[in-house]
Amino acid sequence: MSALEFEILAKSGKARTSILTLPHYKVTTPIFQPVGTCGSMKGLTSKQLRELDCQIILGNTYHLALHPGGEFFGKCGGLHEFMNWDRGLLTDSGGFQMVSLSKLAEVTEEGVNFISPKDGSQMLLKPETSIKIQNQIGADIIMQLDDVVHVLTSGKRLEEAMYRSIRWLDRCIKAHSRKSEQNLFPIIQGGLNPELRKICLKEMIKRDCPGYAIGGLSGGESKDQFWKIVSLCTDYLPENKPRYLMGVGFPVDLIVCSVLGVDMFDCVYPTRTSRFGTALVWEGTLKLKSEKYQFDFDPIEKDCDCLTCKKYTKSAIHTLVTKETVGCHLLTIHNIRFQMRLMQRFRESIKNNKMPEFVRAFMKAQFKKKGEKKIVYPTWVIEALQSQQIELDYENDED
Amino acid sequence: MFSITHEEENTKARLGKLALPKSSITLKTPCFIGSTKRGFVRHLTPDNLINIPDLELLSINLPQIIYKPGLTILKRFNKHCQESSETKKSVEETKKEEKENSNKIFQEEKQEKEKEKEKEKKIEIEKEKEIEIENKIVTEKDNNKQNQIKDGLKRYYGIGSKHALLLKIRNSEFADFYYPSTDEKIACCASEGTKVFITPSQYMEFASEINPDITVSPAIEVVGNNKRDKIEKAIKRSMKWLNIAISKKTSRTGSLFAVIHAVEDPKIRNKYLDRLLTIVKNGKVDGFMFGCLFLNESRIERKKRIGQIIESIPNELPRGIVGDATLSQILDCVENGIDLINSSFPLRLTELNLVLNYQNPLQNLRSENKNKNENENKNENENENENENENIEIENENKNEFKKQFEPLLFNLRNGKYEDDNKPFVVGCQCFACKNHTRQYVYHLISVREMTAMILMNLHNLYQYSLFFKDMRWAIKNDKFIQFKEAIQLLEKSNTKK
Repeated sequence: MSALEFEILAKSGKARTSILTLPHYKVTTPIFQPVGTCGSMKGLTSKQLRELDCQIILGNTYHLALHPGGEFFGKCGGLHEFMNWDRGLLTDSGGFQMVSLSKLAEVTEEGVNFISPKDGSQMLLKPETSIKIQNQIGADIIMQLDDVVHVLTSGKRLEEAMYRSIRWLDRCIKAHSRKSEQNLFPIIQGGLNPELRKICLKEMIKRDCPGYAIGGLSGGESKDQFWKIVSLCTDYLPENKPRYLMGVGFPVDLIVCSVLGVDMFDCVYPTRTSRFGTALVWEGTLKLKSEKYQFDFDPIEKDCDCLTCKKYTKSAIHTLVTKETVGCHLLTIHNIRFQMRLMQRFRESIKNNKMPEFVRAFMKAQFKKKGEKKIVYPTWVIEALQSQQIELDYENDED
Repeated sequence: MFSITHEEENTKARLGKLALPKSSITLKTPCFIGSTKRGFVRHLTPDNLINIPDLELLSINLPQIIYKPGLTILKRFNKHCQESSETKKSVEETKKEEKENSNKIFQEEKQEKEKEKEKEKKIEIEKEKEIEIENKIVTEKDNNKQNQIKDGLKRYYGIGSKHALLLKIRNSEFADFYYPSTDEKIACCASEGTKVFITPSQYMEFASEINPDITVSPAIEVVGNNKRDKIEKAIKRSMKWLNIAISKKTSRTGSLFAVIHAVEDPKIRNKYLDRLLTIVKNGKVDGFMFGCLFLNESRIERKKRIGQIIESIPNELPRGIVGDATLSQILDCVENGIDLINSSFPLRLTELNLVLNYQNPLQNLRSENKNKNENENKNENENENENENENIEIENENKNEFKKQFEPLLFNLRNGKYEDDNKPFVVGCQCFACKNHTRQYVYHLISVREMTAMILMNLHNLYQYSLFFKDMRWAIKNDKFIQFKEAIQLLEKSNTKK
């Protein structure tokens, strides 16, 4: 039983662009989902988000359960009404935050037992409670509670975590009470061990869920292993269902994983770096705090259509960033718009059958350096793209 | 420049129009000057700022921008703007060609999306369209006029064509005490925390690069407890600086406002006021700013000082005042003839999580006036008597019952009772925050310490503040200023817990 429809419009190798129809909105994939932790993107109103063309937003169940709490959403009609957002919403299960933020987390078969960092009280998060809170919040897509281990674990603990996640998936499916309005996605675990990943994939695909998420990555592993696991998962996952890679957000990673067949991404990276003064551009990143942008009177990106690039110069943002809250808001607007436009152009290139050229041009812009004749790419990028028959450009023709 | 359109019967308040030709704005006075930090109203990006009507004049304090951007960056920026405006046409043409090519590729997806949207949301779109059209007209005009704003701080910081700038140089009273100035140099306490010296002619050079509409001449504002020598020295110094400012005045520095020192001792006050008026007769000074007020003097004292000074200065020049003033204190000033008020009252409220609820009680005054105009049979005298009787009755009644009639003027959104309250901040308010969000949402954001709470509260408080000024102008026009003032004082009393 699912509450979504997935229609593929065009393909190019393993990459594909499609329309994902959710109960609240129609989303075009591949898509980047910005993270609004406690019910709002830091410093942006819902109206500004709509103007930036955001289609789905993430909410964190852990923070929303602490305040205002799951029962509150049951009364008031869900997170859509609460924050006045009429497009797509996705909530995660709360498992990752509990492990990364708390001092002590004890994992048992029943659930995760942890001590809250705020007042020292104990709380037990079972799969049933996580699903219940997510049902009350009312997002279009909800995630199972999985046994989260650090990506570099191996051996018995990793195997135990993988099998436990499957058992918890069954408990989540049983406890899910709004199957016609919310889609429950399982999360594929197994660390960096291909055999464990294959077992997990087989079992979870048997449950026939509306879509699948790839978890347990993006935590400090080497990129060589990272892309191979992603490629393995997309080989096995069914073609007619959406695939969501959690926690991936650097622009280079987004493009490589989209080439390998992933449809949905989320990350705190663009919003977080803007608060430290870094702007994302086609050529890489700009650290606007540095003095060399004092007299630079061009906009951040010439062809960007966001508010910041229409009205402000790099010099103006340089004087404001980290000193005024308005500086953060302006950079956040640009960074989110950059990610949205990048994904939009990728979708267009698949439709027009020009995906390899687009990827080639993007990688060249990101990695070329002035004064060097040959461009040096990281090996993982070269190998990952070669596996999809995309060859990169090594000549640096200086303009 | 400044013309008086109406003088209120019972007080010295007046309605006026102040023309600011550089920005093609005519201000209706009395009005408020929005205080900014580095040119930005706190927490608000330009697309949010457009949602506040009647906020047309913004003030900038020079110590905040003396390092960053500073004089060198502004000079180079102005040069860059001049050079680029000459070569602008060719750049625009090439940009258009690029856009056309890319548009063809993107057209198909856009068309599909647009068709679906139109089918699903026709009715809602119609309503939203009306509001959007209004906003679009403003933003399109903005963008068109933005190209007409050639250079200066307005172009640099994206302050649209809807706003005018006032430049001043004003330290806090403690900075004046710890960082004394000399005759040649003004001491500034920059917002980075360091001490900078700037000469008056450098100040005017800054002003010509910033290109504001109004410049306030530099002055030292002294606290009344100082000895007589010190006060006289400070005022003489400010006069010197004023003369230098007049000599460097150009069209790029805008109109010049002089500072009146409203100190405690009437002899000192009058002595220097006479000197100031002889300078003013030459016609180079375009207005006055009252200084040395709102520095812990009593309310009666302040009214006395303003009242005495107003009698001596010419009527046809606009007057402004700077200070942290509550609503009834502002009315004290306007009653005595002040036109422009620069206070950061709404910002202080948002920082304390307080929401301004100004709307309800004064509708009675306005609706009674409407009834008066509709029914020609009723005598005007009878209506006025009724108003007075109502006010006296309210004061005599029990205060608990009084509180029930009026909602409080300010309420603290941090209070737990707003957790379940899904009304907007103020029922009936037309500001952006009240139309789109509820009290419980902002209560949640405050408890989780999100920045969006400050944005929404600041928008609402500034909107309500501008409504207050609108009602004030209405009251002056209809000669009901005293009743308006009493109604506001009752409103403020409703907040106290006596």
